[in-house]
Amino acid sequence: MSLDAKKLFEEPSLIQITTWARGVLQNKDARDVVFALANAGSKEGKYVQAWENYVDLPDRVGVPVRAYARVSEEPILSKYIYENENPDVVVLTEEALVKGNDVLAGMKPGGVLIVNTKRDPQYILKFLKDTTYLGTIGCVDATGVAGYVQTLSGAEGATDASGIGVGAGAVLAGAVVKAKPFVKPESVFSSVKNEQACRYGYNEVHLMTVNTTFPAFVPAPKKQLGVDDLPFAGTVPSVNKENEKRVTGNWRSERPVWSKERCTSCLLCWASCPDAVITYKTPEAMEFNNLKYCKGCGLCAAVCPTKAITMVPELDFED
Amino acid sequence: MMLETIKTLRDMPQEEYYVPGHRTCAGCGPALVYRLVAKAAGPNTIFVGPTGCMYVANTSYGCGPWAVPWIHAQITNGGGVASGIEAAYKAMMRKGKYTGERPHVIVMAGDGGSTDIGLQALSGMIYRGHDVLFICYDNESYANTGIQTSPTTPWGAVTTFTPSGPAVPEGKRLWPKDNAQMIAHGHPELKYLATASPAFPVDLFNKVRKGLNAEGPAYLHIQAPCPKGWQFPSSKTIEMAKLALDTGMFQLYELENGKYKISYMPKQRKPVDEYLKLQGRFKHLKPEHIEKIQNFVDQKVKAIEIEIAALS
Amino acid sequence: MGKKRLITGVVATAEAVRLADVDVISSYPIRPYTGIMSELARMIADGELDAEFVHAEGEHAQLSVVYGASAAGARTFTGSSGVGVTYAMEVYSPISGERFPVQMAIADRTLDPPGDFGSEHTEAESCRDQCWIQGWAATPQEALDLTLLYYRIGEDPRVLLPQYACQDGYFVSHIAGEVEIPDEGQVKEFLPPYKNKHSLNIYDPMIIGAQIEPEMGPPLQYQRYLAVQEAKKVIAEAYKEFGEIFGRKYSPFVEEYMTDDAEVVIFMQGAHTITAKNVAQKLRNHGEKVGVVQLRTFRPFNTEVVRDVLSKFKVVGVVDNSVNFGIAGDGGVLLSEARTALYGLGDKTKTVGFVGGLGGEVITMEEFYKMYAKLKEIAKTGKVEKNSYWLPYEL
Repeated sequence: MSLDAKKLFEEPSLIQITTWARGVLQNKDARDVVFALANAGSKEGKYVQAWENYVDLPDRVGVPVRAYARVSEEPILSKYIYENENPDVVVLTEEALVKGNDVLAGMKPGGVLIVNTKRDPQYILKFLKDTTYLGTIGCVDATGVAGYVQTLSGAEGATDASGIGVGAGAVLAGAVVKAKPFVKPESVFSSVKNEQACRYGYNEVHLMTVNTTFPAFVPAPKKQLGVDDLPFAGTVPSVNKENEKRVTGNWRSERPVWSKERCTSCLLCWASCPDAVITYKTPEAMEFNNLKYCKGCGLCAAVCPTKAITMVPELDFED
Repeated sequence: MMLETIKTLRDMPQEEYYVPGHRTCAGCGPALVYRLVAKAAGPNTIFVGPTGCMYVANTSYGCGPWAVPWIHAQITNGGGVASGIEAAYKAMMRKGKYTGERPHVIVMAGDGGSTDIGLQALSGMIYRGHDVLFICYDNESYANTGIQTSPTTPWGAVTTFTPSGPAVPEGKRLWPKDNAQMIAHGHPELKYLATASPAFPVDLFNKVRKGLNAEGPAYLHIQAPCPKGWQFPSSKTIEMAKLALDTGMFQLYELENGKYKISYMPKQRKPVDEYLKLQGRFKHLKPEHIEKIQNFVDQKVKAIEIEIAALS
Repeated sequence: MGKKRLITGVVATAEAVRLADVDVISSYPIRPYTGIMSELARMIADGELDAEFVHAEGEHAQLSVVYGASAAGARTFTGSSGVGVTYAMEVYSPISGERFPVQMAIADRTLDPPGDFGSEHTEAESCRDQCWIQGWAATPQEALDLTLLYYRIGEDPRVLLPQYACQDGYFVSHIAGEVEIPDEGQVKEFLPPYKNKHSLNIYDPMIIGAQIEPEMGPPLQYQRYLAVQEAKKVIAEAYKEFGEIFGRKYSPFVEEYMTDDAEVVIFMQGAHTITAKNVAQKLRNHGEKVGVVQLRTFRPFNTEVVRDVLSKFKVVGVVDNSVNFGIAGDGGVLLSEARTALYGLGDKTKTVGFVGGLGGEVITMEEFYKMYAKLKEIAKTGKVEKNSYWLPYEL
């Protein structure tokens, strides 16, 4: 056969929506965004799919996790895959996800980014490395209106007893359809439990155009490992000071800041950090020198008897 | 080589053998426990990691956060794999096939791998007298699979297998197994047993070292609060561990040479409600349910005290 | 040179384990393999063997113990029968996946229900996809030899895979036959010390068995696949060298018996091949052109060798000493695999299946006679009317 396989399997009407969230804390809201949008598409007779990233699960508190929806005018061909390779819309349920996560990876020209934040789009843009194909950015304070809903219900493909679109997810779904009306707003409003929140997102999202022209777009080929890319039986040497294959600093939405003045050198913070972020040469000078791995759990601040450690929003820091 | 016990946090070595770079929850109790255990054990240690959170969350993507040898075991067989490693070193040293220092062997198993599907392997390992330290990091559920009930999940807790609903208002309807007590009775080869908590890191550290110094099998049951499964904010892991001890939901003691010793006794036990109300897994409980748990804890504390009085 | 003794398959296996200077043994009693372990326990008690003898609390634990011991660098041995083999099922893939060349003796026994001590290959064959080297000994001598051969093959750095050394329960395990026991010098020459590419060692720390993500699945599984392909080469080499050192020459994959100018042959593995050979011998005396092809190595199945041998004959009767309920062709796994091996060669060689010896029942000489008669009939008429025949009811 001499067909162009790439062309043969193109799906021009396929809209891909990817939501990024913090594991456990917001994975339900991420799921709500994609299920609300997929249900809206379904109501309009479109072909739809929605799922949580299987490899990101089981989710851990704070870990970046993704959920996906696909809405298409045509039957979906590429049904069984792991990820949305080329999203049209990316949603962040928490602002600090812009740091250390390649959230715009593979985005189609003119794609949309919706961020749950009080900050303005201009500030968020500072943290995005490559915005070549980003068409629109939208910011909305979703948690200010509806809050996150933390539940174990609905995990592993089971039914979510709390319903779809209760909290922040409803707001963000509304914001998405304002920025990219691939379904009717009413279809989305009627697909969530908290319609008011959803309408708020639709009406109040602060949209800003980023680019209007785009260079030619060539999707990256699927990554494939060679048989020698894996060591014998997958065995690797034990690590020395850190496991660089699993950097976790991008889990953080808050950063610990230490004050020398208040510190009494009790070492409780040092002994309470699951991620060995804190070290010291002398107990009088604690060093938070492994921030590359700090997940921002706040245990160090919580155990500190003198409040020498405070947790500061991660996006207050531009580094 | 004997490992020395310590007095304060300042005596704790700076070296890390469970290093940064793992996919455990922010504020993970078991990860903190792992870090302290690895510190106490030092470089001459082989870890056996049965399936559970401390396998999957630590090793995802073909890597791991250990500076020492580590091997995966099935959730079923941590005790069996460790037995084999210990037996191999015994044989190889006796036969001159290995001339280095004898390594410590530590199993880090969750409550499923210790008290449920892994109980048989644990009991077999201790019965046979293998010189292995078996540690249960008890986060009171099958957490790795997304929070399902295990034998150590408290009565009344909500998990995805014990949801609370109109027909089953209390959630979980079974009382938890007490693995430390099960192991303590009927294993004559057992050389050391203790319970521990990350609320008292020096005590935990010393118990690991005592367990390793004991010539023969040792068992540590360490309560490890789980922000995901218990549904509390990540910053409260230590507070939760401390409250468990102050309410009597968990007790700290050790059993050495047939003698019990209480490691921590709250001056005035707090009502269990102070512990329960901070955790989402108990938020559905009604006053009569809380009373049931209070009675259970009162009985349990009394039983332990009687036991200890008899054997001390 | 070695000395001759009249011993059972279980003792022959234990003798080989002693000669291999195994370091860690894990035991659990179940008929009919139990005797191997009692023999080893006696050797240790009498100071003939220096090994750790771990009384595991079940077969699952037996396999767990040798997994850990092999990871630590020890040569290991374990074994089982019947439901014991299936009880340990979880641990087989981790052992081969982590490339630990442990050896497990299987003295076959029918799976429950009901309780039945008799031999059937079902339990061992149900492990065929676990990436272990696997084959059957048909005599006590073969049991001893297979044990030594499998340590050598499995521990070869090009292979590093575990092995099931199988023998038919009772027939091979319990009936004493003449066995030449080699001396230690010969074994030392044949079997170098065990050394893996990874191990649990505090001086060279490694992380063994970390969780992977789906994209790492293809390379990891392909590594094992390549090891299995490599094993075919190593098996041939090892058998050749075995013959040179010990003077007993086996054909590594399939052994032909009286197949010169044969029209029809029986293809099978295990103890009953001995009966099949004796029947063939008798029939040859009466001018019948019949023979036997004994499968020596079941895993890896050497498709090319099997094809080249079986395609020489008009009709091949494949005897399965196991139950594979609902399988294609209603015979057994050997029938399916023989047919796969012959695929693409047209209708030149006809195949038909026989399922026999179930529950440990004897496959009698009369039954083999009937099978040969059926094969002759097919050779004559050129028609295979039925895919397979369940003995004794359908033949």
